[in-house]
Amino acid sequence: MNGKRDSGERRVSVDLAERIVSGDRDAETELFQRYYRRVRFVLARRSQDFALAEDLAQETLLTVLNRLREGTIDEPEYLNRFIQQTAKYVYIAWTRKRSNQTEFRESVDDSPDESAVDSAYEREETRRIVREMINSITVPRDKDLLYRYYVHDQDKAVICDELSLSTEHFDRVISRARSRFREMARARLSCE
Amino acid sequence: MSKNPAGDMVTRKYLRGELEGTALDDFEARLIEEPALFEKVERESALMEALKAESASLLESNNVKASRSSGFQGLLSNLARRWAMPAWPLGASTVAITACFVVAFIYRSPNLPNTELLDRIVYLDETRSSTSDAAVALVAGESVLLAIDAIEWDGAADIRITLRGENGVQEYRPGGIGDDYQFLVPVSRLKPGDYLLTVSGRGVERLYVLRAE
Repeated sequence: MNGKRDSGERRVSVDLAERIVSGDRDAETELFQRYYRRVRFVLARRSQDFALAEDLAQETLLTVLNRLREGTIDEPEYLNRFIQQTAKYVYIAWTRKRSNQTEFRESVDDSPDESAVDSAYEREETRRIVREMINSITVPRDKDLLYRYYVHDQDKAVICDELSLSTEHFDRVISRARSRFREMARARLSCE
Repeated sequence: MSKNPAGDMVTRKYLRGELEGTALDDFEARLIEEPALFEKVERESALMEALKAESASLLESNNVKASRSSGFQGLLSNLARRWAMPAWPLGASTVAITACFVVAFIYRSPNLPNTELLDRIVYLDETRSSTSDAAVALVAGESVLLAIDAIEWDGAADIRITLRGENGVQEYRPGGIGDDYQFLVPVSRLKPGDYLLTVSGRGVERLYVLRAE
């Protein structure tokens, strides 16, 4: 299964790289469409700053695109690894520059930019969905379980012990919460 | 969830910021490569962050509520005191947040009598009944709400709940099973000692041993 998935992904990567080298502009767009959200997520986890992650993700993919255009990526079948490493070094470079830029950023960041507003809206929407999901759970102990797991980072074994739950019950509650959250998020997206 | 516990564990470590070095690099590379994994982890992250944000705002609103409500004031001010202790910042804040949620659940519970006297909820399900080795531990003097799993008695009309101790027997008549499939039984200021809680109806009987110390 893993092998199939890997070889499939690698074929896509090689194909994308070859098309970009040959000057295919659609392939360049495809590169951004395919990887932007994932790279932004990884960088947001590292930086804990969603707006910054958007800038760094752009920078990462532009760097990757330039290397692909130049044909200087040795193993295009490992494009995902190259993107990950590039994102990591872009982030490290940013942290090195950060202290020098602090004063500049403070003077520039007086008003929120559009992407910051967008991400705040996204977060508020997500919270609304989670609120609805929680309100739809009628068993107090199941709510307790979710808060212990997601908010207090308690381990499954500890939660099961303290709430006298079987691991099957625990799995059911978490799985149901995830499904409800997914369905509600989908429903919300389809309404927009 | 249980289909891939090892995968869940790595995801959880990643979201807690506990992955480092090559383990972090490898997981990030997989996130970039595997759309299904990425979707799952992104959702999990959103769920976690939104719950944390909700938790913080609910804590805030409950603290405001506590300052207005004499019933929970003692409990919450006690928790707030513990929360403020510098030696226990994380543990105590966890206690405070959890307790505030317990309080919030109490507020929302539709068939709950006499909420103002309660210190906490104690969940009783089959695994804590007399078939289990350990007695259910209570603190003498506190007032608790016993939330008893009641699904076996759904629809039964002859439910009887008794609490038997050295000083006699207390009988409870539950109003019925709510949406939560639980009987909610408030127990106030138990004296130290062992108690036997019996739930019976429709030919089914379950026993719990409670120990107040």
